[in-house]
Amino acid sequence: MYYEIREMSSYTLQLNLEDGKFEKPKISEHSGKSFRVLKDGVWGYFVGDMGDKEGIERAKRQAIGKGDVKVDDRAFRGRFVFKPRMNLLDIDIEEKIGLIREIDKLMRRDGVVSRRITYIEAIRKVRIENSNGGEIYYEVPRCGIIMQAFAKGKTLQFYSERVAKVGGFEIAQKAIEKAEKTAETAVKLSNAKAPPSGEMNVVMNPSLTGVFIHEAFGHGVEGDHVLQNFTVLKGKIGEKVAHESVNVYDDPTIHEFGFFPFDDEGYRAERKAVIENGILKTFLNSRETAVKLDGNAGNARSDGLEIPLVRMSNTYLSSGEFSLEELLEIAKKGVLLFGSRGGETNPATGQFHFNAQFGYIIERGEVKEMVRDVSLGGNTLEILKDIKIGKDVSFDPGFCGKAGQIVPVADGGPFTLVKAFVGGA
Amino acid sequence: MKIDADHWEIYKERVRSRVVVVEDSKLKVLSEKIEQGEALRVIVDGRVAMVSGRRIDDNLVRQAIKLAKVSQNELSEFPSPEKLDKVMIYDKRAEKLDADALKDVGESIAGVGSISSSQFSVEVIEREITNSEGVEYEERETSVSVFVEAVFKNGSAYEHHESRKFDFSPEEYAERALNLAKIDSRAEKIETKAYEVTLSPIAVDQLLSNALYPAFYFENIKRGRSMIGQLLGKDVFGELTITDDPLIHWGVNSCSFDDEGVRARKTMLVERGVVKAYISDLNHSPDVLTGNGFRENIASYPSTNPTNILLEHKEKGERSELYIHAFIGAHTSNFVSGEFSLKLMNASIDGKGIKGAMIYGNVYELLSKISHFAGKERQVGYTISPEVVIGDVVVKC
Repeated sequence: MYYEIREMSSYTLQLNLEDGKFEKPKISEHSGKSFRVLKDGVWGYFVGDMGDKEGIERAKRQAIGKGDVKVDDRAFRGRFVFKPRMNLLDIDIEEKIGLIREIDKLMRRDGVVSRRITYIEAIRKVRIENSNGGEIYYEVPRCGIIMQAFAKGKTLQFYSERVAKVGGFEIAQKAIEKAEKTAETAVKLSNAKAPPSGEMNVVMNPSLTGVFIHEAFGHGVEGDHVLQNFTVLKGKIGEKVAHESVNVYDDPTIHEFGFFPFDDEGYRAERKAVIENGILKTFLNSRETAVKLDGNAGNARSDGLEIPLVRMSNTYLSSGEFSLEELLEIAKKGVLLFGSRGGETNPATGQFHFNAQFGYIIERGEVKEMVRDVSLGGNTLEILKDIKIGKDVSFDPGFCGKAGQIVPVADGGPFTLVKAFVGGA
Repeated sequence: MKIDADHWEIYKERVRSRVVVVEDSKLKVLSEKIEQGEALRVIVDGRVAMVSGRRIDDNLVRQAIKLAKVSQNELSEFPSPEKLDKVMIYDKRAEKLDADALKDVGESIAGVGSISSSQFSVEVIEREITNSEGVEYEERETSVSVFVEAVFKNGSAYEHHESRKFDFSPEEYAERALNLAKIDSRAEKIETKAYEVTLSPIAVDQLLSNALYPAFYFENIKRGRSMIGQLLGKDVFGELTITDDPLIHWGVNSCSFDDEGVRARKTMLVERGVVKAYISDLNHSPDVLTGNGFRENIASYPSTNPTNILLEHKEKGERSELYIHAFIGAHTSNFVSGEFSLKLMNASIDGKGIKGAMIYGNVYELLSKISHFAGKERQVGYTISPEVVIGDVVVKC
């Protein structure tokens, strides 16, 4: 019988400055334990405040019936404590408030009707033990700022920027560089035109490319989706699924927002080449899906004490050969889109849909007027077959939701040129 | 434990849940969770702050008071006690469902076949709120829900249902999802043009929860993030009536008090097209209480949320040929402007699946074009509605 005991404690401080006033400050400190037992191919799971022996027994009582679950029960032992440059608990709250106020000052301008700045710091401590003698412990701090500006022109619009990574207060300090641009973009956007619609050339900025790779492609390589027959990529390992210039990686060891040293099954984190030269190399796996899909585990994550699921970490499309100017020149006519207001994908069909934060019309290879409320849709594999990839990769932090669980991730990529369906009012 | 604040409030939540998970038509996990949390809000010199944890202890109380001193969130006091309207939300039989009963449900869902993944869960939630003004309320509720995702060849679909009682057949939802996935596997493109479309209750809830309901939150009106403020008293929505009603017996979001101790009450938001009112949490509208302050989780401040939103329309009729079961990307809608651009999921025309179609526009304009309601009423998420039939909607394919 395989079992795991997971003990977690978390600390979070959140400060919000809304239209110049500090609102809803909060601190939360939570802790708890979960127990997981595999018996007759079915998992029994229990969350509750009890001793290890009793918790395991309680989980065992849930494991009734028969299933076909097997696990890679490799044991890892290790301890990792992330040491930030500026320890979150050593910085006085007044200093944090001062930084937020400074950002707010930079976001004030004509046309901006409302401003919202959210500061978040969190420390997660996890201990996982399993029946094969594995025992790991880690502590990871995260810090970040989300800036939102609402502007009124011809329409009411909002624009947001996020700066967040693993690390200390030094991460939040970097947000100041983006404050003015956040407000300026919102104002411009409130006077922007509605976008054209139809299938056209789309140049995506690094942030939107990252969201595309995460949403439209990444969810399709999650091992649980493969076992659920819920992805068009099932059975395609070793096959060409994208243009030969496409290389996609998921790397939890990069110090971006999706960083972790061990996953939530106590498996050591490692970089995975998901696509190399257009060939699908591997799926992302948990201890369970790794056995069935003949892959490596290390991608199981959970929100609090929920059941770990196969998740992405820092997922990115690596760099190609084109400059932005070259991509615009090749596109000639179409749209240049920036950022994302979230997206959704159906891995079973490869259909995706998400909204960009804003865009520009491209005419004769030149960037023209701004457009608002623009959405992007299409079929992932068709788009990946005909993609032109820019040079410089950058990451954006985000929160990814799956089956009601939210985990921090980062998505990255360079500017890219694709053909997709653009919609708008 | 001494709370050295001008006013205070302690909210406690205890949740016992059981879940069965089915994957690839096989039983995968059975789980039991017993979770509890407590949240403390304090008011010091008219400023509020919050802390939360498994249990509130002296250390957390001290941190709350320190935070209140830097807060600029003004609140003069917490609500005073009132006589509450009782609403039925607890079912003893639901609470008695044990691991064996869940295993049976899991196996019956798995037995439908082609089930990619499914979850059936039972929750018993106990909420308790006390404050320095004398409020001492507690309530126990049950929730039973199923979510099913089916994949057939290259088609897929999902269905879900939630109730206060175990008064539905989970495998029936699994069968519905499978049937929709089969239709989707044969989906084809259709001509781009204006159609009369029918939105299922799932599609209605997805669209309105993202593109419209937040516009009725007083916080958004006050901050210039909603058009509803300017539309109060104006005829905007044709014949549509929209009511927020937490007092419907067995309603999925019914309650007799909200998560900050305000008495639950009915609010008519739109009456036959005319915008009438807004909803709010305590913090953003302390003078006009609507009882819509809810916590997303124990660590969240109460914020405005609808309860059960009842949609009514005087015209009843038949479904149109083009039927939309769900949308992809509804959460990308812009409630500030009301604009949306959505991909259709499991849409069909005359029973034949539609591939890769989109609709886009403005929710205010769309709702003013409702022709009639059709079919049976069903609660999905916040929304209690039958199918909604709307004329002259461009479907782009």
